[in-house]
Amino acid sequence: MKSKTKLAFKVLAYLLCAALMIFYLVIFFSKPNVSIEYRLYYIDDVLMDWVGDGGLDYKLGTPINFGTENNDLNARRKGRGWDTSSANYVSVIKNDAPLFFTFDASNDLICTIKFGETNINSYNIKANATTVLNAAKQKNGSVSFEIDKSLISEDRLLTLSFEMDTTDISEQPYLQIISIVINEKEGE
Amino acid sequence: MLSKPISFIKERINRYFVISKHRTLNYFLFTLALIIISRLLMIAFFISKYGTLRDYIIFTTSTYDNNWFGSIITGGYVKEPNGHAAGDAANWAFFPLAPLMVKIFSFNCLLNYRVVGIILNTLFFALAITVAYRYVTDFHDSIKVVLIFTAIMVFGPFSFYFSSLYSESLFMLLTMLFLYHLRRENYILMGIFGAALSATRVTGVLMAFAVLVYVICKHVKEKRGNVIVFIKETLQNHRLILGVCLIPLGLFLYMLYLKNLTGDAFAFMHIQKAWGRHL
Repeated sequence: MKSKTKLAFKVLAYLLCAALMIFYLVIFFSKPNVSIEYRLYYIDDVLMDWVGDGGLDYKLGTPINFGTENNDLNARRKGRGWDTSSANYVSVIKNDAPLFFTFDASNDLICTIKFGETNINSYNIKANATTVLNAAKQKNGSVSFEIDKSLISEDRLLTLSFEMDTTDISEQPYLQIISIVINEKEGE
Repeated sequence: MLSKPISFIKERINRYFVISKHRTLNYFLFTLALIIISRLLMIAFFISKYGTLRDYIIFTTSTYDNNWFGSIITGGYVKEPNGHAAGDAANWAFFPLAPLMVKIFSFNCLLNYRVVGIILNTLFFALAITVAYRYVTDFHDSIKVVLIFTAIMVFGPFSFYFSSLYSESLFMLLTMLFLYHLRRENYILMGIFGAALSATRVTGVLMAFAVLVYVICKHVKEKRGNVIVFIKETLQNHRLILGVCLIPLGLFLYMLYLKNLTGDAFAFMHIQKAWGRHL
């Protein structure tokens, strides 16, 4: 009888261990169910400022002015690779410096960026890793380009990133961005 | 000239802490008395230079991480980050068992949780040193070592942390209990203390490695055979396996809670970014 009890306890102990291990694995591999802002800031560590849940929401047609004098919530959507020390603009200083936007769009988009000074040869602009503007050279003026609405991800996120051509540039490369506005193209 | 007082002290130590039937209780009371003396000295020094007794209580329970523990005691865990100037900090980084103990013993903050926290953590500290005393005297038979350890812990300059709202006291007590029962091979009790450890601080889960080191050393010392024999014997020891499996339970229960609260089971780790640490 005593040995039966011992055996029963032994079996129970191993069953409990198995249950615990399954519980640990389920918790460990559970996918986070969080906002885009939380994922970009805390998990992926690509967003520089905490903007709160819903903080990356963008109202189409709203101009965003950059620089320390304009650092409201709407302008705090930058990733890594920016110099944010100037009053009236921000500068791309590393390749693939991103800007994050979340919104709903039923039509294609027109993005207008006002650039400042630059010392690089040219730059590409990507929307969610797809090039939408190639080898642009515009400085001290505005550039407009189209973004196909199919490029916006399922979770409503649009990432604009800037790729600089720094061939033969020996000093720190920079590309100043003064403002940006995204509009919906009128439906045909 | 000093030989008579030294002999007297040695005789008393032997009588109360080595031979006596109530040696554990004696040592606990002795430790508590030393802690009270050390705290009175700290309070006297503080009052002579900086403020009143009330200021001392506020200093030891309302500065630095004390505020985070205090926020958990009074309001529980927040749903969204809102701390620090950047608004990106939350109290998820601080594990629940220590503030929960203060909340319970203050009757859900009916009593002043700061005062209860100081008293409770001081008691935990005294108990931790007492368990260490039992460990050293049971397994190493050296009262001298534990007396030196007690003096350093009680009168060391950072000893005030053990009478604040920090989780240090509880963690130290649980660590001592864990190691004591590991050494006694009460593996299930060890596992229960291990689960409490991992619910106090995330590093508590690393005590599983202490178990591994212990069983390996024991196996080698007793010359019980090769690696295959070691693995077989270890896996057949159901108490040991269950004890080790229990250790992460505190951590994973907290992760389950965070998953329900925030959507992220690893929120305690990810929130470290607010303190400049990204893991």
